[in-house]
Amino acid sequence: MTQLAGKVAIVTGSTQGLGEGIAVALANAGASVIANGRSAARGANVMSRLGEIGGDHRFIAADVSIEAEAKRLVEEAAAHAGRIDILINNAQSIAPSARLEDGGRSAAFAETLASGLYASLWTAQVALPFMRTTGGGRIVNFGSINGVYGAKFGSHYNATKEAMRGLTATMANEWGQYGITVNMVLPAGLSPTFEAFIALDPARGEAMARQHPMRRHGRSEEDIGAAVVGLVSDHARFITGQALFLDGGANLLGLPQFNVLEDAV
Amino acid sequence: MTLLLEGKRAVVVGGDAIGCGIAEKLRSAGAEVHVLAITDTFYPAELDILVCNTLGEPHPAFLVDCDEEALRRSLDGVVAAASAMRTALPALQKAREGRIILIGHRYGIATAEGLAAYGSAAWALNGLMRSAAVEWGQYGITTNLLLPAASTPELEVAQQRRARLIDVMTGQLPLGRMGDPVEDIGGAALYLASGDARFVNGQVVHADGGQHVAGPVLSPIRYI
Repeated sequence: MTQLAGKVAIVTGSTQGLGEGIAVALANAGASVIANGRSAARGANVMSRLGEIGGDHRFIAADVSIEAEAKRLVEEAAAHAGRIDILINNAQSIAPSARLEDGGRSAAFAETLASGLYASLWTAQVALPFMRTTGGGRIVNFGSINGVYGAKFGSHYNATKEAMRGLTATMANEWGQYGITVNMVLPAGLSPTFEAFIALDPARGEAMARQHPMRRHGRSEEDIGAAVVGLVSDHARFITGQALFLDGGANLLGLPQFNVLEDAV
Repeated sequence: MTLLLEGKRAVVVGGDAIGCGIAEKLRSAGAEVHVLAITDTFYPAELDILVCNTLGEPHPAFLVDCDEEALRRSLDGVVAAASAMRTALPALQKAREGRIILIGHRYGIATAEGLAAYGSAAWALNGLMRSAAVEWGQYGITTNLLLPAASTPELEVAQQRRARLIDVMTGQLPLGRMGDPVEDIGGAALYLASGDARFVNGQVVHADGGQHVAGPVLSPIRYI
């Protein structure tokens, strides 16, 4: 497919999991991908996969939870590729689960907000003039079902992810005039963490899949990555400000409570 | 370049401006498309994509004046969608990656005065869509509800009557314009119908230039 031929896409946090799957899907659709992670060593895997697809792809090491780094990522990407059409704000560090009364303190909150919410704002701020120059762009931010329902012991993560909803809608309202669409996706699919979780208990993994409306877990490239490709394609140009679950409909059945503390069930 | 819907067969029930726009876009993406009337009961034996555009027009009336007949007239659109879905189910099951796209209205996620009947039907489409999403997802069928904001003949009539109001409303959309039935609304339908959206299920998708996060909901009985 060449849906995204000629487009340049930045995917933050794309060394593994959903970010990697999205990067590969974008490259398969013809985009030039700027992959990102905290170190070049971590990027070897995704770059090897992008290399197999062919095209002009590049890895830029940057810790997007640091403002100067997040901005440098976008500046270097633009300097290399000459344009930025698509910004996928996938990066998110995840602090350990903690009860509100124990762990709802500044360090975990600050780290989670910086790597998710602030990183999305910082990259978008720098990408804006480049998107304006070419007459439009696509920004995709990331929310989570955990934020929607307020899953236990994840206050920092949940607060960050729901704050993303407000940021997304505001960006859509302010930047729509430049032909930029801004949407939030709420994906649920197989990630290294989730695969490790179900590897410990395959029967439980299968039982969870059976409860799913589509009777299977989402795949990072073919399900989540492809859905992102469609959302940043030309035919989705009138969709903006949207919060879109990429989860096969699992959210309709409520919150799957995976992340419970061992001693708190 | 391979077309996104090459070899796919689609039925669009309800051929108004939106329905025809969607049909045209799906066709341009390589699908074989039939546009049917709500009263048609003949469906192709092989089918990949069903678009139910059956809600019809609002007939604004305050709740106090909204009799059973008015309610039934609006809710008939929901029943028609459910019938079309059930009729199409065997073919969609066979397709393995079937798609159902219901076309609703913003009045089915928000509300305004004078929309008791139409609003009830528009909200009901949400429940119908979700039921199919959780019951038929097991067949690889996705079901989603598309809410368009488009330049239609109905909007043109409103524009002629209340030009300034409609201009203000349109200006409040983040993208600053109403959607084109083919490229914008049809485009969003194409996204949902394509293989890319195989894991997008049970969703309300706004093809509205961002209206749902922006402009106020106009009451047709008060302002139009």
